[in-house]
Amino acid sequence: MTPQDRSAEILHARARSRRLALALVALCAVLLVGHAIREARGSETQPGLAPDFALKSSGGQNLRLSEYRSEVVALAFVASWCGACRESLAELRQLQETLGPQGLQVMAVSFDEPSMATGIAAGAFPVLLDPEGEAGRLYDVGRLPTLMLVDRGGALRAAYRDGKPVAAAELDRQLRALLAE
Amino acid sequence: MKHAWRWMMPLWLASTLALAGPEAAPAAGGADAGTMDQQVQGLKDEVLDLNRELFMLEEELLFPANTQVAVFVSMDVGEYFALDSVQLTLDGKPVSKYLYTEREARALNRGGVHRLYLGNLKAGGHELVAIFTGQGSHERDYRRGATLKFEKGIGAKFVELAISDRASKMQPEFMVREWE
Repeated sequence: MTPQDRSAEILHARARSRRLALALVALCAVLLVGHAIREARGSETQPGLAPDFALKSSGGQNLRLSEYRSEVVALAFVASWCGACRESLAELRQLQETLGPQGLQVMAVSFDEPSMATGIAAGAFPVLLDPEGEAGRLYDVGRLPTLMLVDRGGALRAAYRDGKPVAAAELDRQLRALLAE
Repeated sequence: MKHAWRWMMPLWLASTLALAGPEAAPAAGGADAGTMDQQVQGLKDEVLDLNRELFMLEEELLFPANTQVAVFVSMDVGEYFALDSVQLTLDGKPVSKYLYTEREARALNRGGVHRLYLGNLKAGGHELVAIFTGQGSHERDYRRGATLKFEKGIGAKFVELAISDRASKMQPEFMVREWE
């Protein structure tokens, strides 16, 4: 192989590497953008049955999610040390009062110890105690607050996992749509 | 640029995958509504049948009869015990913990039987321990255990955890027994 042939080969290889690197960067960018768009859309999930669980409530009763079929359930994962959870719970109390007669059931799942979880809902809806995080693991809860919407058939229809309270208008719209089904 | 398609193709594929959303339902048009309804109903029935068969097949594959062990809970109590939960350990390993809701406890009281656990065990000697938690008379908290040592043979093994009133002692009775 002549030195000129060798140089050409090296140049060719470098150009190929540059193209590959560009393609990889572009691919990552597209995937990131797609992911960001899905996150911003935030809520919609492919319908599948919401994982069932039973927990003891702060009132001492055992409550099972699947026993609330025929109602729309808003499942809020909260904790007493989470500031944003208070705003979320205030919104949910309002919605329970307004939409409760139409079939909405809000339930809070608290990761606190039982003594810390009292007063979270101010009696508006049940607070389920999950100090060991069993339900949290089922729903892959990372940030708080996290909100799940379950339709009347028990399917998980929306999941808000970004750790921020959902905008009141958006939540109202989503819940009314599920209640109307 | 002659070979630009070589790296643009994967890029195009990736962007399609990343931005793909749920497919829009095709507009139904021109079909007779009644026939469509019947077809949909027929499909639903077939799906339900298939689902049932798949469930049975899954159970047969995951829990074959020669290693299967099933534990059931039954209740025949009146005034001495309100069941809250049952915890089960097999050979020292926790295998099930079930919280009973008011509705489920009522169903048990009416004669329902709940399959608490389904698993696999190899042949030989085993030990089952059940811990019952609930409220006794005068709203007193109750926590009782019952143990069964059994031999697992070739066939499936069925064990019943039975809770009943013992009027003579005015207390609930917890028994663990094997079904023949």
